[in-house]
Amino acid sequence: MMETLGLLGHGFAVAATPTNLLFVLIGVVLGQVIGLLPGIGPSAGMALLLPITFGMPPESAIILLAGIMYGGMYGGTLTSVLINVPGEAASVMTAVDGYQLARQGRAGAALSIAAIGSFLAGIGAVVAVVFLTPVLAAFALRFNAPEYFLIATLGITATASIGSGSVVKSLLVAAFGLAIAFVGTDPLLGTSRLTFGSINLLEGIDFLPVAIGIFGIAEVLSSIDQREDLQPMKTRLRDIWLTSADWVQCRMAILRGGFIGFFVGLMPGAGPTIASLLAYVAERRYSKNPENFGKGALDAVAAAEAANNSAVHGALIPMLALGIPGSASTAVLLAGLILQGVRPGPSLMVEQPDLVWGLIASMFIGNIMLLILNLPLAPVFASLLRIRYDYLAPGIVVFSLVGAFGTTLSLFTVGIALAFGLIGYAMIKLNLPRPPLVLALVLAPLLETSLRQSLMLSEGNLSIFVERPLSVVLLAAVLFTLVLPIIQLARRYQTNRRPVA
Amino acid sequence: MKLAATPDRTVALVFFLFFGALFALSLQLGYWDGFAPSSGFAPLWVAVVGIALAAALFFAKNEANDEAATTPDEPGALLRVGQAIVGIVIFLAVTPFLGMVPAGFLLMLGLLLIVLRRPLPASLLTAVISTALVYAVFVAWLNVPLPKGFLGI
Repeated sequence: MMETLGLLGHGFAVAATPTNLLFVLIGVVLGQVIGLLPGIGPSAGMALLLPITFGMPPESAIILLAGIMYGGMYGGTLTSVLINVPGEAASVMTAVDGYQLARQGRAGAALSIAAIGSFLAGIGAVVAVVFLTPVLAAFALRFNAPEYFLIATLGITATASIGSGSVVKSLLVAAFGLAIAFVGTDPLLGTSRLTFGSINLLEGIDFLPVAIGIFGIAEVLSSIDQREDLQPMKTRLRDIWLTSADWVQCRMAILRGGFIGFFVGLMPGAGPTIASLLAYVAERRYSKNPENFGKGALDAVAAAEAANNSAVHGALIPMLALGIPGSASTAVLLAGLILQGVRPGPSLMVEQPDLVWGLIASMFIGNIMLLILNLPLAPVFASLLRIRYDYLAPGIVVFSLVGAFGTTLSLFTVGIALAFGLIGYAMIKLNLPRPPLVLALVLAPLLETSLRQSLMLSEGNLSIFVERPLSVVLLAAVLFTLVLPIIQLARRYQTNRRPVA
Repeated sequence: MKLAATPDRTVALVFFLFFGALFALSLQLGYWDGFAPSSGFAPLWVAVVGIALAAALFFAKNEANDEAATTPDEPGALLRVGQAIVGIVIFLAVTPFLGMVPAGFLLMLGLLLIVLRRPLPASLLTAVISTALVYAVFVAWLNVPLPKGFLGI
């Protein structure tokens, strides 16, 4: 424990330099703005801004990107409460009661409890990250090729089965992502593969133009469909204050929401959206006034917001300790690490202590900054909602295309971004989830390399995947995530067949 | 047995064709090389899984989350999206001649005036500010050598 606290202290020394403090501030402000703008979420914002991190030290780059990630959770609250349009998916449950509170003249109280709940749960989650990440990383150092293959597979199957939506569609999209990742050069033999004779494809299809296209360009194209002009509710600084009765009503909601969010965030694929939904449902059960849920319950807002911010921080644990992203945002963060020449995985904590502990320390600082920004400055951020999205969309498109060019200095990459923008738009229209694609793209090299290495070691004998207890546990987890949707389907079928009394 | 043509079945067919092609291409790459998997090993198995999943989607019963895709709210929505895509393609085509920054300016202006039908003064101001931001971030700050055209910028 003392060693961990010592490392955290060193992390604060890294994060508290003037440059890194500035990047924390820029990251959280950008995240807040990106979170409140409908049509672009934190993962899209992070993907668009990846190219500008190329010239930065790795610690600063990751601090900036992580700031956008959790800053987006705070930003999504504003649109949910003020215009009943969630700025991003994790704020959907906040909109249910937050907007009703705004209509009752209590927008300030809703924004205030959301900011305080997010802050307290975020700080709690970061404390858990401090103590759990080194333990998990030390454990993961015992992994060999079979365990790496199984953990990468678990990342994909868990995302498909635990995430919202159709499991078959999620797995199909993930398989599509794996197929894209195979284009280029064989990682073990060094020969060209699926390049169709094109020199441009020899280096493969990079994560960045795919992410920029799938999230950035696709969401802009989708937003061009909908031409809504939404005017936000007015808020005033003096409305921000909470009464003591409000605080008594919400403190347990924040605690429960924070716990639920953290554990949900740990699971690959679950993410802050599911965390906020589960926290909302749980809080309705424990609330003293469950009849108010849906009509403007302050504790509902507190629980949902505490959960989504806690989940975002919790998701960093598997990413830092195992090198396995559990969401689109952590996949982009992982890609950011790779682009900086940092090798993610269990040895990251040992090889790059400045980066890991600097990031963790910066999250404490970032959450404090966000609380300060959100309490007195909420009306200022809310005024940004008056800018028509029409004036932002073209800039986002050009920024995306130029950013894609910046990765390889080739117009071919810009073409790839456009192609995946069209694919992403089609996926939005056809109700196909996009995060499994980017997750699979990020995990594919690890998955294929470890699979082939395992089979090389065992000379093709599949028993290598059940030789060690660790592999057996991971294999069981993979099978469980595949069987779980079938069990849920069977239960639903039985419930539907039961005759109505 | 007649099967209704739903969006999910169309998606399943497209994926079926895609993974079928991947399967065929993988067979040309080599499956096993002595004592270790070869280049085609992983793509082949991903193709097999993809084909199985596409079949599962094709024959799945319609559930709530398999309902028809979200359709644009207005009749002109698809036209706007099509115009935006054409605009981006033109941007790609003219960038080597005009330069990326001027081409980006024209793309933004085109999107604002033609696709989104915003007033000229606000559109010009937005395009100028956004172009300045792109130049400031990518050229001035990051020194990314963006393509320059005959205008020299």
